[in-house]
Amino acid sequence: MRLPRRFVVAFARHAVTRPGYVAASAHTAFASLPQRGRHAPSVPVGPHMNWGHDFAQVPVHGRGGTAARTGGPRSELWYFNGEPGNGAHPTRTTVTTPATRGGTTFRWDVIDGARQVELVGGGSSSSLSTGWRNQVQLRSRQGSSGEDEVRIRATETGVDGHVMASSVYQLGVRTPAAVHRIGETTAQVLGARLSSGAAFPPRGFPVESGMAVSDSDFMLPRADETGAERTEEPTAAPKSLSSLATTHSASSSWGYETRVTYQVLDDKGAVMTGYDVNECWSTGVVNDTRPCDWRRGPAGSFHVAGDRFDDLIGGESPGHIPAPTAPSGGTTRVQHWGQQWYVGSLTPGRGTLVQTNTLQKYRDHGAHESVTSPLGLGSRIGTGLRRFFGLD
Amino acid sequence: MPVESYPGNYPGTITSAPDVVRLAPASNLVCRARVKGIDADGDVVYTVRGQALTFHRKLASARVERTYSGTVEAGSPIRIEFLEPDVSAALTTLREGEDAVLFLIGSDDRYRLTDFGSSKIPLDDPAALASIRPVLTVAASSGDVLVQNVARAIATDLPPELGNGRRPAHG
Repeated sequence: MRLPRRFVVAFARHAVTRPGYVAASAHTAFASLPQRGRHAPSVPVGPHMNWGHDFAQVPVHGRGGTAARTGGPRSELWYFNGEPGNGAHPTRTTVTTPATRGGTTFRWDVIDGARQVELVGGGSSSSLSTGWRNQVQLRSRQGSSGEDEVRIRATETGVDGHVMASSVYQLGVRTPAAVHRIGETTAQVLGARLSSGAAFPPRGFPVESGMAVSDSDFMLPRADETGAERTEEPTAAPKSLSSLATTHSASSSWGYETRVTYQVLDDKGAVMTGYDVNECWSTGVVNDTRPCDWRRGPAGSFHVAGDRFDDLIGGESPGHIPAPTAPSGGTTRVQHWGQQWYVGSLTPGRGTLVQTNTLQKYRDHGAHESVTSPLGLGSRIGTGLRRFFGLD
Repeated sequence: MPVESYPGNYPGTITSAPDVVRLAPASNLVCRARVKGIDADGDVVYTVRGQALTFHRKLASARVERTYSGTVEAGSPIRIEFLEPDVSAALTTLREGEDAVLFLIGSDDRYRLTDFGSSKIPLDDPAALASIRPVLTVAASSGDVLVQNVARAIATDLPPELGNGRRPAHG
């Protein structure tokens, strides 16, 4: 077999452990995959790293003077159950491989992770020739499970039909996998006659001594505050997270207003920013008391520019039955219905489902109960997220 | 007469910090204002995903305390239209005495919230302020100079423990 004069190859970090690759060629140079950010392995980023492309390219000199390149993802690819994503979370990305000389042609193969990505523009979703063009577009098909398991091989062929270079690129397809609750606050929208910003703890809603409302702002949840199955049985009050501040007051418009704050985690357990979130009603309204004429508004959606959002659960306006009251540690249920949370779309019910719960309205507060997040614990989430939720 | 669709994206009960990167260029007045009073201005019906919803139109009288973007001078009185939902929802509402950063569209002294769902940074509501810092961080590094400047100026008006990183002087 004639060996190419210059054989460029790249391997993902884990690929070097595969016997088939180790035995590939004496002219093959191996290198670890440099990555950065939360994907970063223990390999330091080399001085030749160029993050200016979609995928990093690092020239490395291997045995016998051959050259090798390793590739690692710079930009991320996301999956939102078929929704198009946005600029911060693209569901398509372009892979560029360097050309060794002019006149060569390029072929692309998805060698691992064909369920997660497809090549755009050809008859086959896993193999594609792009002619002289050294770029290919990838589209996500399914989220990863906390791993970077997708590997794409780019093969450059000279005019004489010989392989000039081959590179392997590795990436994962990030997807929202769960939401985690930061805190729950029963807040009062104060009337004009009350001083703005005032808050007070009524009976049954303890606030830790010495803790101001603002103390909760940048607290990170402790592991025991992120349980996937947290219910809000109000034996005395809505569940008060021990290390988070809680404000309690009444709403002049709705009797009360309960604020539940969430962050969204991707399949690796990282907090997402800049995403669309929507809620969806999964059941009709079930009244827990009679008579009851409380109303349910349409489901909504929001583009979250930061990293967290709130669900504001209000009571009812004056004149409805039963009359809502200011928070007082009550346990009288009024009505409930099923609620689902999706990420990746502004259309209710579209995107990736990240949580289901029951939205329970009491006379004096609201709650998310029977919370399930993340969903599909065994299959959809990766090690990092399982560890985050204390499942390993 | 056909009922119009709700203007913009209906948030339902979801709320978060206003998207400064989107709102700053879409507004012709970004200011810190103190609300002096609220008046009713009739009802309006919009459809939201096929459901007709009544909203109470309100008109707030406010005084501009500081202008981040726009030509209205500090101290000027303005009126601001906003919608109050008839059924519980997380629309941006104003209340008397409130001190807030507002993203507005209008002219002369009559404005409305640029986005009825999210156009306010309430400077006296720590719970709502919790989500603004990462938004301002992103906006401050935007490629749009207007967005950058607005974000940085707003950050200087946040309570020290929340947004501007400055500690109050002692002594």
